Amino acid sequence: MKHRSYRQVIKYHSDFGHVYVDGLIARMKYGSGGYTIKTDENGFRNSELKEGEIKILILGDSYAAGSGVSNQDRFGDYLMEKYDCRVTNLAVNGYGVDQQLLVYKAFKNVIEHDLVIFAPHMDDLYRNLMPYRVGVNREGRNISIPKPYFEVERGALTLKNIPVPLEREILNNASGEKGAKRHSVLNRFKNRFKHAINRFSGIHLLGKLSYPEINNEKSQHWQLMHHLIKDLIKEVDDRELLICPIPYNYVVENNEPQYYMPFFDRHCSERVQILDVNKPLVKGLKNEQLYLPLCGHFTPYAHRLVGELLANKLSLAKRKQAASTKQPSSESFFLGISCYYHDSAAAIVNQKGKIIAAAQEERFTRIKHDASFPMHAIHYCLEEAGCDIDDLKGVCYYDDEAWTIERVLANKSSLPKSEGDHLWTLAAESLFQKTRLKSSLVNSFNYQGKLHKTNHHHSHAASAFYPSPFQDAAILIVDGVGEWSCTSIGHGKNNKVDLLEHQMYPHSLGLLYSAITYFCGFKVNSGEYKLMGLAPYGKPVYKSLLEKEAVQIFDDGSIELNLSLFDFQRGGAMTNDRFSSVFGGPPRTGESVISEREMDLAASIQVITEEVMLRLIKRAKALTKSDYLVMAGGVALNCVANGKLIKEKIFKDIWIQPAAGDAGGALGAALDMTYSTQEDLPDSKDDSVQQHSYFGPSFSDAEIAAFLESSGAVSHTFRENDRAETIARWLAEGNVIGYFDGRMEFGPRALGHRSIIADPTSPEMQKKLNLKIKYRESFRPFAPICLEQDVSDLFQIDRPSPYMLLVAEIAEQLKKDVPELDSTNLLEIVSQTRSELPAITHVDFSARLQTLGKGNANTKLHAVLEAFKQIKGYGVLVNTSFNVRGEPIVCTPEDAYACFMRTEMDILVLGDRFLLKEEQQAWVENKDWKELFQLD
Amino acid sequence: MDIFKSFKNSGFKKVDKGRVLREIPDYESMEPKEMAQALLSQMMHDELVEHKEELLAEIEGWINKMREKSWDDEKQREVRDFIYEMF
Repeated sequence: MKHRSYRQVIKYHSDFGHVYVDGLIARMKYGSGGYTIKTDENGFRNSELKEGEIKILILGDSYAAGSGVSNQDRFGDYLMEKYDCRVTNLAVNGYGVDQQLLVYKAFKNVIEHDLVIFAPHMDDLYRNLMPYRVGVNREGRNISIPKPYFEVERGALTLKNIPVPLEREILNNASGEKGAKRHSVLNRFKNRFKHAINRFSGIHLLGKLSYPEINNEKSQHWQLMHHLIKDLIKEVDDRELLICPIPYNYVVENNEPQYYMPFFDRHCSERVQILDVNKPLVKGLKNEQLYLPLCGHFTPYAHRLVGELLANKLSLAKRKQAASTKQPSSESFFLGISCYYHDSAAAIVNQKGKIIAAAQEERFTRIKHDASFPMHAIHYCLEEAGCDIDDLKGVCYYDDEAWTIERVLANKSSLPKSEGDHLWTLAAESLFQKTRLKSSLVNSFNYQGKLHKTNHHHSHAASAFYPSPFQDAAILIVDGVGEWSCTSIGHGKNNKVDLLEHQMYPHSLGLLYSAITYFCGFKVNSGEYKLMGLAPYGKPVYKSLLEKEAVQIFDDGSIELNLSLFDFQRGGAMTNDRFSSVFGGPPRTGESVISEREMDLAASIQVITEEVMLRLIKRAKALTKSDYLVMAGGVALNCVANGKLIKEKIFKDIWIQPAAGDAGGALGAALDMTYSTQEDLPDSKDDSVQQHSYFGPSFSDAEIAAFLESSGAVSHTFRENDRAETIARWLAEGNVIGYFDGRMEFGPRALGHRSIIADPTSPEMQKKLNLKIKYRESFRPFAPICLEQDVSDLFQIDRPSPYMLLVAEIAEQLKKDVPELDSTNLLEIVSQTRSELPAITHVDFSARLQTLGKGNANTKLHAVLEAFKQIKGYGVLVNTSFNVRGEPIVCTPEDAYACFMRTEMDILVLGDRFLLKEEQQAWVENKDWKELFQLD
Repeated sequence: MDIFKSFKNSGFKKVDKGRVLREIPDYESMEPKEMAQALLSQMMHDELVEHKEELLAEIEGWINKMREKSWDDEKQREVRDFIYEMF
């Protein structure tokens, strides 16, 4: 992700060219840290206005707007914090004096004020002449951003380019010159403003141009600037105006003469004062950095200096101490991080164990299963919590790097030298990254605090127990491997988690399942759920052979792998030639035909998994004597096994962390640190029980509207009270809908906020979704989302399944007779209609179920289900993740729109807006989008 | 060096309850030898003690090699964009 935020920060404005997106809170990544932009309802960076005796209004560009710093670190906010005044900031990045004048005219009678601080910049000489600014779009390409501008005609200003054109052009070189040639409006200006274009593209930052036009009355630059300021003085009327010219960094840093002051001095009058900040800034340079190194804008220190100068000039009275003292926040936060294996993520919880935010890094970087340092996810967590990295009470990593290094060293030493060296070479970098986590936090966030770690399975255990509704529960963790542990049994009680026993590497149920996943031609750490979906097509004929040759299962649920059949210890393939010779030939290669062998192997390993899991939960029961069980770790995502475990009724109830994989380790690490270090935690779980898994970002109506406008998409707003009925009608008509609403899910499943939804009663829907929208294998079933109150009428289950972690058989009365089919062709098998809900009924009549309760966080989709039931008689829909094969689930409106346009989806719902495919312009991309996503 | 002669299954083992939340050492500030010692001192298996010197040399060599690489945490640093946050 090249841009500073996953959010769109600036939007089109027909009168001013652009403003900030209104009502926004966006954390911007920036060098070694970040800053937060907060905007008001008008699209300007104002937040937490304080009343004061003097009411000030600020006009300016990125310096006054505070590019590179948070709202509270700007000179305007400093004034308001320290002095008895209220400051409304109407400055916007990239504005010329022309735009500032237009903004002032629009708001001067709306916002009460006594005086105006006007902070022009020398670049305005050029900006004012231009019909556009050069900006950078989200792909990092230079674009023209049209703006209003004035011309001096017969000694008076004439406004041009109104309404401001929406269309932006991509400029094909850094200066934007070529782009300008192609642009009909811009073409007229290309020769006149070549110099200006070069300046806007950043060359001015490198050179020492000194804007000679500022002292040349005959230049059009001077004339236009002079008239704009004259007009502004006139508009300010009988109020005071303080002009505070902003010097460039090289002017201050080189102590250049203030050649521009005479120009501004000539506008001075009784009610127009000029403040020269250059000299004091030069003095201040001796103490601390004044300009941000990446962009040349003011540092918080420079903002404070300018704030003090302004206060002196205006003779502002200091605020009384009581009024200006910040109230200490009653909330503190713990950050958890998982990364450098697969599915990196960040999570933030408060001091009471309440989950504030959690997200996988892949959603921001658009790299499936991204294992890299979760910089974007951390920024998001800080944004959601409204805190900075220094405000955190603790940061915790989910894994012990020393133990993981020890395991790999042990593995190495058990192999012949050449193989051991090969393994070590493969692992060397990712292991070293684990030791550099602190550096990554310093480099990306300037984090100077302590960094803690917990153990991999302890993280999973914490993520499963603390958010569960139970005060006392057995804990079962089963995954591939974490440090040395493959399976762990623990006990959670009140505010404490204890791991009791573990089975150590390499005898791992998770690795065995992954080995069969690999052998059947699917990707490890990704394709395991495909293997689970394949299992119902096969018969468990390989079970006894697997038990004889590959794995021994003991009564207590521990296992022993026959290591001579596997190669994962060598860091290469999961299985070896011996395994192939036992199980009928070489592994299936990806994308080749799936044979009966793969189907039967899938069925066999599924049965073995269920058998081991059953023994393990019996062991957990025996060890803890608890009535309840919680689970996490990748194997806990095996919803087929989960459904069967519940039926056994060994525990009164089971709760499974929906982010059961490594991403959930970030949540567990944050919770583990919270509960290990907080002494006054309440015994009650009122605040900490996980009620949903919507912990990712949401996007306001304003943000969605801003995106739709700038993208040129044709969209509509639902009529009031007609949203659910309209969507239900579209679904009943056979349309496939991309449904984007509310906060993004945390964990691998789309639970109705980033989903593709469709009619499950259609016999053609499964095929259509697989081949025209998801572009994936035809054998895979789709999951239903259904009204919680109807679940027992539709499925053979007696409980809700809010996280799609349980499989249940479809109700007998909905089943249909299926004729015998003598075929192993999965497409033929899957095409048979088995129930009244064929699109969600798997070949064994099962369904991977999600229920939606009325009190759930997803009331809008609940209403759609109710409306669909009115039409079709069933409160159930197909629900599949909003992505194509190999793509992470969509995060932003932009991702959703791209996915919608790349596929044959019919309708896109973005909050309360909708888009019809037939109304959109043809989708054009520079390269084949399918190359962007590696098939999983 | 053959520290672990085999990975024999030993079934379930008790978990060391003493090893829970703890601070990650500031590895970056350490010399390679010191960092190798810090890592080794945290490892769990008793068998390691017998091979301490060999392992220290191995880990130190690895640290030296890895520290020669440039680690690109700073992809996000861009210098061109005074109006980059716009769209």
